[in-house]
Amino acid sequence: MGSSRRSILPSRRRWLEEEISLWEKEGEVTSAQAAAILGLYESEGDLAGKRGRRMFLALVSLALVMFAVGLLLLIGYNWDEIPRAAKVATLFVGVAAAFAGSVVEYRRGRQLAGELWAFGGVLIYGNAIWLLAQAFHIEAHYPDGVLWWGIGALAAAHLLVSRAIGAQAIVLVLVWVPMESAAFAAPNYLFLPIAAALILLARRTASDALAGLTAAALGLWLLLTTGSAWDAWPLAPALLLLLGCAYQAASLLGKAGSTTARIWDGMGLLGVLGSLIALTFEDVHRSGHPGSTDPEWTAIFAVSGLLLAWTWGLFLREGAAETIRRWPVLLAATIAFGSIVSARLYQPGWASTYEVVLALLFSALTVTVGLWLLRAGVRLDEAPRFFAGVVYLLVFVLVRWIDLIGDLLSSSALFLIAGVVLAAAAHFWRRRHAVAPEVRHG
Amino acid sequence: MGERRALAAGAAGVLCLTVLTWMLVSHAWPVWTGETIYLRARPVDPRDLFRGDYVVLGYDIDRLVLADPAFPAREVVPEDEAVDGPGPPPLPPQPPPPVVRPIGDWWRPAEEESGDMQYLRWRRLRDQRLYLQLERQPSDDPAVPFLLRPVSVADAPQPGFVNLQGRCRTFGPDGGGRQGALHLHLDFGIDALFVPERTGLPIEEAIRAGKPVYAVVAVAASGKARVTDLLVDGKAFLASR
Repeated sequence: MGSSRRSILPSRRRWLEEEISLWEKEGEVTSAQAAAILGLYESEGDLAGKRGRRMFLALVSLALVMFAVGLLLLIGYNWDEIPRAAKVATLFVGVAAAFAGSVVEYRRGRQLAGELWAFGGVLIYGNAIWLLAQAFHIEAHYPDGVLWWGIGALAAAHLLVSRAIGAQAIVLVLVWVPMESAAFAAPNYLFLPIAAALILLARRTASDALAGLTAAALGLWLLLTTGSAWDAWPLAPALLLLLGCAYQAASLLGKAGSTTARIWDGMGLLGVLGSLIALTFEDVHRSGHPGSTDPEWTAIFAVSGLLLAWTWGLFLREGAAETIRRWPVLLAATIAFGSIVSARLYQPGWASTYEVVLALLFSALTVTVGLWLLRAGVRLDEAPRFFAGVVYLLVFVLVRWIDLIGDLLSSSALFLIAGVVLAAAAHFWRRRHAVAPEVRHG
Repeated sequence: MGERRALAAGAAGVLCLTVLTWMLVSHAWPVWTGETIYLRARPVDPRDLFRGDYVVLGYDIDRLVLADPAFPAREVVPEDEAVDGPGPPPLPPQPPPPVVRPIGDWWRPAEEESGDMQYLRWRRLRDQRLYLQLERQPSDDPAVPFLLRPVSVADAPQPGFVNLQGRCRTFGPDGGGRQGALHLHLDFGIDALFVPERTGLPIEEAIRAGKPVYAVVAVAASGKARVTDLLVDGKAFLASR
């Protein structure tokens, strides 16, 4: 947009400028080479312009939201003085005028203004859905109001390749998914093509935030569908664990170290860590033998099998090194799938042995994943991963302690020990970074 | 590029307007093509009669009991109502839910099914589209030309009746247990009537005074229904404003 130079974060640009200046002083590069390297990336001016455009877009979008809410409240007040036909006309004219404004601005070559008019048009369209429902006393399947608003936003975002309208769409989808699942028990499979369209939009607009939020929406959908539509709440953590593993695998599709890869990696890790803790509880497995009938089991097996195959497939495609490096993820996915199969095979005679075995298995897996994070943090010299491992192991110990023992005195001692462990980990990391890099990596 | 985006913006606008038009037409269809019926309305919750500026309505026909000898009614002991101090006068007592005949096996559990599986089967009826068959009967109220009596419920419209399409809200034995008469709660999508700000009081007063309040409902042949007005004390509430 505007500049054909490679995009760069402002902080990285500053770092690069400082480094190049040093290289120049040390004679590693000439001033012409230094200028050529810097010239490959967006300049300070480009970055300032980009920041300004973003700020402008954010503020005007917010203003449009305020305007739309004002309109909603004004008409929603349901004045007697406004006849129904006038209300309908106002809404239709409002939508048409906003998109007409967008067409005019795009024709004039003013992309940003065109996008903002369309953003406002989608907002008025969404309001119009609710206001028409009010004007005509329509009280049908109410989440459909949000759904149709979201579909309109998604279609407009694709047509205009717009991040701002895409943001509107994902917010609506995040509202619609729990609304639909909480109030109505039927499986909401319509979400799947919508999620696919959102992921495609994230790719087309190169929006990592949109991709991350879609990933979160997918997790939310899987959780609610498993529990509400498939009558299998106890299997929800295992399915979320599989989803987390699949996201970890999906991070391999992005360029190593890219923001996209980091987002999928982070979302996946969050899913794995959270669901593993839940699976360490015996109760999850105790209440867990769903009485779901065949159609639900088919759906559960189809989803979990696909997630497992996706995870294994991507790791194997990346080669043996990647597979070995992330073996706990593969192990977690396999055990999660195994626990789902065992829930299907469950016989009442297995009773408590079944619950204890699964709780112990997932506890061992939790410790393994925590240690793996610690090791990976040290090996790759990544502080977030190292500290995530420390905190995760502590959380696991605290949760198990409270669940199994939980008296006040020993709990206070445990928290004190936890504090000591955290301080020791921080001290270790600091000392480690005091050592010369060649020694550390050697 | 600009021209292409302009076209895309136009297409997005047309799409949004198409959805809104479809919404209007689908609402208007029962009003244009259907027949007008009158349903006796009652408030859903006496403490929450008005939410914002719309009336939440219930109907005598949205809670039903299925007539089947395998599921006889249990004796119900009414619970004492808690009194929270002075409040609005109590609402008139509600009539018992009408008993209707189920048509088809959409609800019937298989003989070999365990209690849990029965429960799951019934739970899964939630959201299913069902049709309530209504039979005309003479009205003793001069405000309405005829009344309707629920006779049966099926998973498809039945000829010779006014069919009202609804979605199953809950289904199962009364009291939440596994035995007793089967209760069906249907949602016809006609339980909200938006009224102008601060004008709902006459409706509330009429209901509390025990006067009949009727919803004026348009029903298409498909069973889709739309509430268009309320008859309060014999007068059309919205039309008279």
